[in-house]
Amino acid sequence: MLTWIKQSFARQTGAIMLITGLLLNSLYSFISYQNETRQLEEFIESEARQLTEILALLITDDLRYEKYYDLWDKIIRVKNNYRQQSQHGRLFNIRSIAILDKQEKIAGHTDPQHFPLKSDYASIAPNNVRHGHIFSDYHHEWRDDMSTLLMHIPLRFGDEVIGALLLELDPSPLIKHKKQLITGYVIYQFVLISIILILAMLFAIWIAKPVGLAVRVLDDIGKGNIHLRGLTQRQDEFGKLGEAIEKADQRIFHDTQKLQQQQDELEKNRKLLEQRVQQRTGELEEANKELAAFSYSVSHDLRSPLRAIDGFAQALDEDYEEKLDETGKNYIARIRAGVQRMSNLIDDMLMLSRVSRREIESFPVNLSEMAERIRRRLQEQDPDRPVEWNIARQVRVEGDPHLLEILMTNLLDNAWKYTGKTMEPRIEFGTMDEKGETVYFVRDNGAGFDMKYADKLFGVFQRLHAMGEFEGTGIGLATVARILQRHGGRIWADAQVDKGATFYFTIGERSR
Amino acid sequence: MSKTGITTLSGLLLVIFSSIFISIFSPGSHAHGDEVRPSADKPGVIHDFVITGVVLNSGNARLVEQFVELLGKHSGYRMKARFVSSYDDLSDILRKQPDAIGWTCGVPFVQDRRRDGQQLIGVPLFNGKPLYYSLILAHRDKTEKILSDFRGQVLAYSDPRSNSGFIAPSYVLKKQGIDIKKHFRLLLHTGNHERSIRALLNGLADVAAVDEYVWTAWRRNNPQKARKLRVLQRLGPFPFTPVVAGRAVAEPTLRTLQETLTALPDMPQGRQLLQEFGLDGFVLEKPEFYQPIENMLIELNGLQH
Repeated sequence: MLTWIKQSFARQTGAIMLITGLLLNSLYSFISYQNETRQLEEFIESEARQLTEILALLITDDLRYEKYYDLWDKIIRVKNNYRQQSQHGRLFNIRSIAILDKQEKIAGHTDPQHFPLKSDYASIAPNNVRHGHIFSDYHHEWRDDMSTLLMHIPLRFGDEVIGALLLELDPSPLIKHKKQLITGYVIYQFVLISIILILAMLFAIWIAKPVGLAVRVLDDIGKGNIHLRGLTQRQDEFGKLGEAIEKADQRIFHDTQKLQQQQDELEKNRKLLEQRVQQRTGELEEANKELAAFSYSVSHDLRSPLRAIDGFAQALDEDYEEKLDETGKNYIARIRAGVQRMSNLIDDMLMLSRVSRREIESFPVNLSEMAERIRRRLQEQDPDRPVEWNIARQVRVEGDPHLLEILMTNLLDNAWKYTGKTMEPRIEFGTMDEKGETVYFVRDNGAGFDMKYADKLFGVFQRLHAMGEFEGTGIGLATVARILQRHGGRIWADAQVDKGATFYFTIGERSR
Repeated sequence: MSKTGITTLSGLLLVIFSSIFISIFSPGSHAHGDEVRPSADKPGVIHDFVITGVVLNSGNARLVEQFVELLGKHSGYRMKARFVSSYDDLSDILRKQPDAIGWTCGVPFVQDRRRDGQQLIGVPLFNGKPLYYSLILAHRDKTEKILSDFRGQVLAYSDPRSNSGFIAPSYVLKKQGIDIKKHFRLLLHTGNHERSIRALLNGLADVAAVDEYVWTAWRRNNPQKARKLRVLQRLGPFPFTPVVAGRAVAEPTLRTLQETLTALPDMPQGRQLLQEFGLDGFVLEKPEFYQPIENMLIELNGLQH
């Protein structure tokens, strides 16, 4: 139903009219009903009071002179006659009339079988008719959810109160009247709703006609056919709408032509640029391949002479040990250390080269287990170092397992290395969420570094510490950065001298 | 319904309601003059024939009027019926208008004869005798057997000077050592025997003392209702309710009236009326006939009213 209404502006207009009409009408009916019923109640109270006062006048003498039969005769006649009258439009019936004497004994009752003369009234009186209260003044009250109207009035002979009159009225005709009122209102509502519905429908049809025309025109425009039909012939807002559409169409046509020209030009430029990019990319790829091949071959080819140097230096050290003095021995040792450093450099360069050239093969990888393996290896190498490890559990990513192993080894080896001189060293591997992206980190409380050199961290051969202080080739972090680059990730660091460093990294889309 | 509508309806209902009250309770027929008229047996003067509802059933007004008219016509003593609501009123009128005639009860006759010189004209024959009973009636559901059993309950009686309604039961109770005024929760003065019966039927009274003659007629007219009641006791018999004359009615008039009354069974209209009254005729008795009632009153200290 709601969808059906939503589909049409005319239906929406009609529905709004209908709902508004209903709400206003219901409110009006409710207030009117309340007013009417209150007026009816007041009318009944007023009628009942008149009845009570007339009855009081009628029976006071009988009570005073103890003419109990006359008194009863009168009240029973009043009750019977009033009931007869009530069938013709009265709003209540008399349920009972009771006359009490000063001692609150019954001096007359319309139901003497149950309320015998001179019996004690208090024990059979309606609830809450308090002794003494009935002799004070006129009083009325609605009881039992307005199904009973109880009234009492003191009976005075001169200034003396000689008794009381109690009337119990049955306002069922009022209830009947209320029901009639409600029925009347329901019928009234129904008629009004019908009228509102018809008006709403007429209005909807009236408003729908030009709106429908406008919709058809716009629909045609959408299909490329400009037929404003009868829209521009109208004198009202829809006529102006037609004119506006006509102007807009001309403007759109003009703008479209202009846009088409610009688009053609852009397309031409784009193709030109694309050709240039392809050309440059091809050149770059070629250069890269050559560079990698050169780097590999240089690194590889350097190994043979380096092994020769180390081998002869070793032979010299062993075979001419007795002939060499301390200075000579020192020179040989320094040659061999330099060779070792160069060998390490070549290894790292080959590693960087391989990392750059290797085809990425993606698998699920558990970084936590990887970190744990590295921890065990490091700890076995130097069991006496009391490092506190904190490795997050079940950190899983998608990536190349071999490259990620190199990445984690580099970062954790660095952490192990730079906490070498720290009291109570701590190394932590974990993850954090930053703006919906998973960020992994390796944190230590080691030597740290000055953040002003942070931009040099991930370059090749860049070192922030002296060789004597911490060993290294300056290629490790470059390799890490390259691995992450290959995975579509990135790396950055945060550090403070002598307080530690934290390396944060992401592993591209697949790491999420 | 608008406020104006309610106000108009309210006014209309008030007028209707007031009219009902006025129609139900207007005093009308009960009005009577208090001035003393000269007692004289003069031609052309219309005398009152005073009668109370204690004696007869309601609805007998037409019959009474015919009876009074017949009596006047045949006696030459012109009269019109005048209805009063109590024996006190009847006594009062005959005292102030001693030329008036009345149909009274044994008790007021004994008292008024002594005080006002009322004269006895005749006594009706009921069931062939100038006697009747006072009946003690109660609802059929009541388990009490005699009047004294109704201690603490409500006794209905027609008039404090009614023999059958009050004096006879008072006397019977006194014989049992009971003061009628203390024995019952309420002595309900109803105004006439019919209303005493009605008080029983409606639960207003528990027991009533009623004239046998009235009960017989009422029972005949209301057999269904009568079945709800039961006669517990018959007190009496007592001298029946007499037709009396004020002290100023002359001896010849008295005799003429007596002759007319006793001759009623011989007249076609008289027979018809007697039949409708449920009476057999009238007899002449001496005032001493009412001595049993006088004796009761002496015992009850009620001779002087």
